[in-house]
Amino acid sequence: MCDQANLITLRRADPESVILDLCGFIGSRFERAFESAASDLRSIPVLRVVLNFSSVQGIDGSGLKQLLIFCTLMRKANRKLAAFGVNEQVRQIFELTRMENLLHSCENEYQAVSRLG
Amino acid sequence: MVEDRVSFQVNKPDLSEGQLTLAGDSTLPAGLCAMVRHLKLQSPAQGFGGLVLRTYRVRLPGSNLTPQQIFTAWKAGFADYWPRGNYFLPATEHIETGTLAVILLSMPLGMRVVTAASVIYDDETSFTLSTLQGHMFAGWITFSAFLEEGVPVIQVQALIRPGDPLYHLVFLLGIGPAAEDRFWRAVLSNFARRLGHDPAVEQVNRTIDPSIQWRYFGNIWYNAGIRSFPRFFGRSFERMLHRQGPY
Repeated sequence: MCDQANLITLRRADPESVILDLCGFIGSRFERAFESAASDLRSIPVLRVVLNFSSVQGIDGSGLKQLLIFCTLMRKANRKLAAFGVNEQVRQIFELTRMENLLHSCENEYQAVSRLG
Repeated sequence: MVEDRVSFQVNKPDLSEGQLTLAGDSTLPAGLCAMVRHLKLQSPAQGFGGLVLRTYRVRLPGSNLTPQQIFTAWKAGFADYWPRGNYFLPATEHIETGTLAVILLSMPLGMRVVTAASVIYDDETSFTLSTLQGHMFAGWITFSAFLEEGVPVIQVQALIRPGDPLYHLVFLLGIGPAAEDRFWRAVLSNFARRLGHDPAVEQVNRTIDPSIQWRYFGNIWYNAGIRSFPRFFGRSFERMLHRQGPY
């Protein structure tokens, strides 16, 4: 769910998976939210991190940068990553920038969690 | 007959492969275009060396211009603010998402490098360039103007990894970062002066991930320095660009 009060909301899908609900247009204002989420996730013993893009309207260059840094930090911390709910515009940007290599997009939450095993 | 100018249109990237197709109208010499044709975009995830975020910025206190006005001026004359001897040659009249640009860099000791980048995002106060295979850095460079505590700021932010083992070595020796710093500081200084401001460049470096990505060792195949060296060593880019006919 998109919590309008927060740009990123963390919730548990199961003991080993965390869903990050992203909210709005991903730009420079997400910098602190991503840093805070990365910090929280490094201290939680979870294996899988799934990003929910269902309520994301778009992403700019600064948002891409923040997202890539977040994904890099998560991979460094041995967390498996997936995304779902990516709209057409964001999907095209991911393909153009080859973000797909770092963050695989799935159809829905169930598929994303299952894919990460 | 040797064709010395090629036509191309770059707003049709092959999204599935991240590869840009050249076709349409351009005035760029064919030899330069041939060097960057078919190269793929390189995100910061596809580089060899450690991932760093380098931020360069200049505050413009007292400026009455809005970030939109400042950025429009910057983008319109983007190539004019590059250090002398270096060229940014966009394939379209306006810099916009999808624009491919050939980049000509003059290095010390007569070294010349021909590489390329593509615009992956643009709006009224920012745009982001992604390097293509062979560039010394795999990454994204974002140019932006914004207000910070009411003061306009112009900024260049590079999220980059050295592209291959050779560039990584150059980076480790400190030559790469120094050249990168000099370059972007000069760009910001030139533009700040154009706006009538004292170019006091602030810089912040942050290492995101120092680890080497050995699986991208093969990027060296595309190394623009190696490919450019025998062809362009000691040559004048300016003369080449103004010359009619094959070179």
